[in-house]
Amino acid sequence: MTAVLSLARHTLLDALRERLLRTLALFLGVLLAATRLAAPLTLGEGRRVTLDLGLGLLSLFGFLLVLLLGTRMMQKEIEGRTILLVLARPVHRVELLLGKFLGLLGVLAIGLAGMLGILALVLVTSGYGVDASLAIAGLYAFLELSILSALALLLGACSSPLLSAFLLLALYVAGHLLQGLLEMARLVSQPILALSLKGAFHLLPRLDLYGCTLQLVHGTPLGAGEILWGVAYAALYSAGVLGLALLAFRSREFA
Amino acid sequence: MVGELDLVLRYQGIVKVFRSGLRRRVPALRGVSLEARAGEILALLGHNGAGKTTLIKLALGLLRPTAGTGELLGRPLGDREARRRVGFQPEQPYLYPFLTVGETLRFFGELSGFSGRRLGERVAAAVEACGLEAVTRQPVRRLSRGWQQRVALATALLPDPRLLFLDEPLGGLDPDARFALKALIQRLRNEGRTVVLSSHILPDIEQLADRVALLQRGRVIAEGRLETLLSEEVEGFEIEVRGSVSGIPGAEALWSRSGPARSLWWLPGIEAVELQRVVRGLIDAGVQVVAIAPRRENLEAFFARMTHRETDTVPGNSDAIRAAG
Repeated sequence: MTAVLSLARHTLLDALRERLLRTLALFLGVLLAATRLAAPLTLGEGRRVTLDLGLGLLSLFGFLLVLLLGTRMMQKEIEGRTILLVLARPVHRVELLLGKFLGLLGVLAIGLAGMLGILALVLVTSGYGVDASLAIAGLYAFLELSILSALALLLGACSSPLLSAFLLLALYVAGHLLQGLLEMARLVSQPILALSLKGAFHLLPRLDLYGCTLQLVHGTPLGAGEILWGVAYAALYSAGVLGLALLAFRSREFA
Repeated sequence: MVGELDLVLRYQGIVKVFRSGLRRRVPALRGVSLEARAGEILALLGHNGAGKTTLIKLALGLLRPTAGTGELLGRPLGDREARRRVGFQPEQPYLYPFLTVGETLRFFGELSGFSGRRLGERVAAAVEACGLEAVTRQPVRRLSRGWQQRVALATALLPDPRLLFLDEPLGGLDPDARFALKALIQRLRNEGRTVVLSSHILPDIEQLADRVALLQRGRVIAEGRLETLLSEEVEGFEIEVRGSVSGIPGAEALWSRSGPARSLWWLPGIEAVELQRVVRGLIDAGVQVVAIAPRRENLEAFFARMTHRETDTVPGNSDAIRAAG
């Protein structure tokens, strides 16, 4: 466990010291704060516009973090050959993967908390007020990104960073369109095609589960059951993907 | 006779074949059997691609053997528990550029299983052993190659290793650092630790190693203690003279300097009686003989002799020279 925590802290430190990410965070943070300037142009819809823009930026920031960090994480260790020193220590490969995953979640948690904090500040200073729905929206964004982080690690362990980034983007889009896939399975007449579509529906990440943040902050509440299901799905799906990543990674040799 | 308890590393019939593409197979090791014992320095010698680094990586579990078995501190090769007491310095200082030296050592100390006060002690010991006191707060990326090499060595010393793998540890070091490293390696050996090192700097190996294993194309072609491997036979004599000498029959001038004239001559394959005759002739000619030294085979000559012979004949493992050790 010490090794996992140590690797997680190390991953976090690596990300926090990366200039590109600091610049990105600063840019999006400033952009988020600037939404306050747009308030006079919103014709009485200031709260809605600020929330829509803010959560959109939050989501974009999180996805870029996963894309830039998660897909490169393992390759960076392998190409820099630092992995030789890490795995020469009494570190199991599952500990390395878990450490990297937790470190990435730590980066996301800090990034999202920072962005949510700025958004809350903008809302309060604009006189709109903040309620618990904003925190739940943040949690949902985090759960979605944790699934994407696990996928990024799996892809990063098996392919190049560029290909991993492309595949992750494809999975992100597919994951938000899964209901359409299910509809299509109902409509097609060929049973094999219908079965394949249903199979894809169950295999692909159900990111559509976490697409309700805008409705949430605009007054459509979520039940405790729905929130728990969202948490459980993210945990189980991420664990499954990390298991696959371990299978891909454990047989790998480092010449 | 060495007991089983003294064995810290054993390779038995190790074969390693790398796959390149779908069909191409590149054999890196072809049935290597080798042992390292407690409190000795074992040097792995060989040209690039001979299989030295592959052997080290197999012991650490970074690679898996295609065939054969082995033991690391009494457990299977690459075993996680065994790795707790094994240090490793790779051929290049692969370090995290964004960490400071202190952070690097703490990180690898934690990965070695240390925490709290014990971690602090191990880091302090490694810093002292490698003379890193002045740079602990500096980012690794700002250090020269030689200093980075020292940091990498310090990470290898963190686990208080019973067995230390050093892959080309002397490359890139200045003379002072090389001298200090050689003293450190000898001190570790005297403390009963085992050091397995690979290097191309043969004079240093000759000073350090208790035993050497010479690898060529994935095979051990010679292995044993240096004093038994190197020929005791006198190959000839070197004679240093002061005074003007235009030539000595059967001798080759190694170097010469003018004003005052001095030169060094190599007389190969010469008997003692004939040497006396040459020396008398020089003295009679008014030349001062400053020194006479017999030349025996050194490690460089042994390396050249063995590897050239192997290149010519490409033998199987049965041809390997195994000296009693």
